[in-house]
This record gives sequence, C-alpha cells and structure tokens, in this order.
Amino acid sequence: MVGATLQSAGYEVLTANDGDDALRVAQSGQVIDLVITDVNMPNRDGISLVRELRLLPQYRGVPLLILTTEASTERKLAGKQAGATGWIVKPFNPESLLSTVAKVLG
Amino acid sequence: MKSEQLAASLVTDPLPEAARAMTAAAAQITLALQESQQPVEQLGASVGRIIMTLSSIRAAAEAVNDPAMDKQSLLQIKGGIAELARHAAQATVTLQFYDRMTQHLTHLHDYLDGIGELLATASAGGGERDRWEELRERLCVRLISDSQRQCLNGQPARAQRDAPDSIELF
Repeated sequence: MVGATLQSAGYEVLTANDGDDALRVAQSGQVIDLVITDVNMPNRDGISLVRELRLLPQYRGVPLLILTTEASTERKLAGKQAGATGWIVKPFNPESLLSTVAKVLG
Repeated sequence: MKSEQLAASLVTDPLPEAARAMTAAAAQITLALQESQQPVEQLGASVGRIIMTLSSIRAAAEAVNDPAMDKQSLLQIKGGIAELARHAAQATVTLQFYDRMTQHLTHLHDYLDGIGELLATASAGGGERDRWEELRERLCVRLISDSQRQCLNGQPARAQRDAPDSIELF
C-alpha cells in the first residue's frame, strides 16, 4: 500500500522483502532519495536497518522514515537515536504520507 | 509447616500467577478481535462503495457517445473518479488494521511462550515472582495502544482505533 501510494504520486519505488534485503537494495548502486521502513521485519529490524544505513556515506543525508504500528516513546527514541528522520504510526493516511514525503525530500 | 516453608511455597507456586497471566492473555485476544471488527466492516463498506462508484462511472462512460449527454457524463465521470480516490484512501487506512492486529497477536504469542517456559521451569524454585513481572512488563511495553495496556492492567478497555496521521519528524 505504501508503494502504491507513492507510485500514484509519481515516485519510483524499490521494495525489499525484509531488513537484510533492504540493506542489499540500498547498496545496489541505485540512487535512493528516501527510505521508508517498518520496525518489525524478518532478519533485521527497521531500527537496526536505519543504524546500518547511517554508517554508509551515501545515506548520511538521506531521509529515513520509520512507518510502524509501534507507538511507544521508548521505541521512537531508539529510532531517533539510530538516525531516523521521522516516525509514522500506522494507520497512515495516504495524503499525509505523501505530504510528509514531500516535506522531507524538501 | 514452618513459616519459612510456607513463604517459599507461596513464592514458587506458579498457579496463581499462571491463572492471572492466562486471564490477561485471554482479555488481550478478546480486545484484538474487537479492534479488528470495526475496520473490517469499514473496509467492506469501502469496497462496496468502490464497486458502486465504478458501476456509475461505467454507465457515464457509455453515455459519452451521445452528444446530448457528453457534458453531463464527463462531469459524472470526474465526480466518480474523485469518489473512487476518496474510498480508496479510506480503504488504505482501514486495511492497516491487519498490521496492527498481527503485531498485537505476535506480542501476545511471545507472552504465552514466556508463560510456557516459566511453568516448565518453575520447579527449579526461586525468583519466579520477578520473572512473572518481567514477562508482564515486557508485554506492557510492546503493546501498541493505551487501551491494550489498560486491558493488561485489568481495567475495562474498549476497542480503539488510533487516529491516522500520527507523524513525528525528528
């Protein structure tokens, strides 16, 4: 649904099956302007993914958004400390997601 | 029975803690089912409206060939497309109940797993009280809404749908 929402607004979307796959896609050499990740994923959780991405020079300035059902302050803080740009709690509204994406992409 | 023996027996007896934990788990399952009911009904209604709107767009599109109907039909098609977009957005929001329910039940599954482990090792004795508390506290932290936490605390909790648009930029 996230992919369809972004594609409907004209964005090109790359998807990954889990945290490790996301890291592989992120390092595939394609230029990626924004990453949106869930927290609970097989193999590697979203917070760990954000932390790993922030260690890569090409992702230091890229917005990394976490989109999740998790709303606890502790988890948000962990995401922030890992280097996330923002935290979106499901259910997301497509219009709000698009306006947030536009905002972080500047 | 000496008082020390009685105290040790109370600390290591897992049955009252197990009973409390199972009651809490059952209440969480009830809440998960309640929380998924309304979104499923809304999703069904959204899909129903999408089908109806598609049907009216199709009828309007068929009338486009009639010169007398063109303007009215085009307006009807535009209105129908806007209506479709609205219902699709609503369906996108409500469908996410599934992610929430999956998360809720996964946390509950881990909690029940922990109860099983505790019961299996309770005879080793000592420290069970802390382990029950730890298990409960971990579930409490992982639950995704206040109503779920109220339910865990034995308070009456009603199915709650968190409003969309909870977005925080750091």
